[in-house]
Amino acid sequence: MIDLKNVTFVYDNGFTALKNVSLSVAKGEFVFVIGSSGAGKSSMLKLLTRETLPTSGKVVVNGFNLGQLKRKHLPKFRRSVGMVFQDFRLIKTMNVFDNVAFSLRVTNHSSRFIRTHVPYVLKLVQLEDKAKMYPRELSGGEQQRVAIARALAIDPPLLVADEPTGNIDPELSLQIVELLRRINSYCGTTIMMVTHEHDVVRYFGGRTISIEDGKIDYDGVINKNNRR
Amino acid sequence: MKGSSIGYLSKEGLKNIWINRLMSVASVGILSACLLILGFTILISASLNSMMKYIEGQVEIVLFIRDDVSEEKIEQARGAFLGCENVTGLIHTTKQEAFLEQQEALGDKGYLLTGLEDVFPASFRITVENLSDISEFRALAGQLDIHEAMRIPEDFANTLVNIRNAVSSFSIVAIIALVIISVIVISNTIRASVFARRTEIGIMKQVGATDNFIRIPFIIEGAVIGLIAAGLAFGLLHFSYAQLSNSMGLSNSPFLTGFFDNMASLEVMRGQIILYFASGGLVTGVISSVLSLRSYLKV
Repeated sequence: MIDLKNVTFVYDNGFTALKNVSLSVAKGEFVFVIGSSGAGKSSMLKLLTRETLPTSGKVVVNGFNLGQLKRKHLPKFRRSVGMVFQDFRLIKTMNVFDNVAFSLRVTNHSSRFIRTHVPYVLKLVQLEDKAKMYPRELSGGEQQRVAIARALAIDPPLLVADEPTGNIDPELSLQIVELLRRINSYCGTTIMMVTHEHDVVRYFGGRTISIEDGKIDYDGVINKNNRR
Repeated sequence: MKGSSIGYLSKEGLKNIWINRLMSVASVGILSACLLILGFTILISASLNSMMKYIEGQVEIVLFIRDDVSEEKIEQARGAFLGCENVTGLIHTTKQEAFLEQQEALGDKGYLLTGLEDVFPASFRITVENLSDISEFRALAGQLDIHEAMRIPEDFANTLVNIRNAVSSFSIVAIIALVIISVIVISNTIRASVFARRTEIGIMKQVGATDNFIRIPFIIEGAVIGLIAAGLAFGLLHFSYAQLSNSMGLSNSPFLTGFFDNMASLEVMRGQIILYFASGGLVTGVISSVLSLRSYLKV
């Protein structure tokens, strides 16, 4: 699903964000990626979504070798990766239904499919009764669930969540991670969640990759500890 | 692309115009002004060309015929000159007619020419379509060899040609400048629209929208702005050109009425102007949209 081999990434200003990083994530896994600010987490996400290319090394995601991916194939690749952001990135002028439908419209799905599929996805994130509400009328947790629904609507095999709990209350954070874990087990979607909240990782446990100073300094399973 | 997607994208394009209505109105206004000036440039240029042609048609080449040339040879020469492609008219003036003309020109002092009846030569007064291209005529005159002198208003012909070339050059420069100004103005409007929707564009890219899917609403926005501006400019041109024509027609100035007689008719050029305006508005709108979006599609 994700395969990084000896990846180094150097910014134009000379700063080395990733140093010879190698990792693999198999289909159906749920992985936490942790690390302090500037450790290289965001750079790794940029590489995984093909926002940028590695300085050296090989990045393969969902079978696409991103270093050799032609520009015309980029939309096809991006349809295979769902993205969830810390700041939700919802469209303020659209209601919940249209925000979720947006990703389907963009990917050329028919109106008929949209009418039936969006309520299903909203039910999955437990927002079926808020379809006509606008983002400003929702709590942070609800907005993030809309963002997750939008990412899921196109049924991507991989979901990448960049600090999805960063802008919401701690209680709601657990609900969001719980939702992501449920999607992972019920839908089989591979999920990579980047976070700096170590207590959330400890609470749920599971495979955790720690990045510090552009290198992987831990890659293993952390035991579940349901106390915060 | 599916029909529902095309419908959705068209709706989005029209929505953009409404959301950025202030900038849209400004763009329509400026593009209309540019197209209006363009329309006037085309019409005035056509009118000046028509006037130049009229003046050219009025200018005569005079060929003074030698006294020893027979009537038969003169008739042959008349037929040969009229067969020339560039020649539009020929008047043969006999020696007698030439004398009477001169006498008439002197009015009550005509008696001064008494006894000079045989002095004035017979002539051909020839009008041509294009004064700058009389080489064929010259060659023919040399070949026929019936004249003792020839009067060609070459300086005047050159001046007319220079004026016509200057008008054409000015029209081309004005049209290019107006197109550039229009593209810049509409680009800025679309850029404002693109900036307001940058989050949407970012999300579109992230969920796998193709570049064309992102472009289409903005292209529709640009095209609609262009077409509205074209319609408005044509209406204004129709109204103002009719007013201008009327005021020139009523003028006492011989120059203005002369110009009026040769003014290009908007009725005749209507199809051409509508085509120029519609294609100009459309192309300007579409080019502006494509230029404005370029940097946002690179991600």
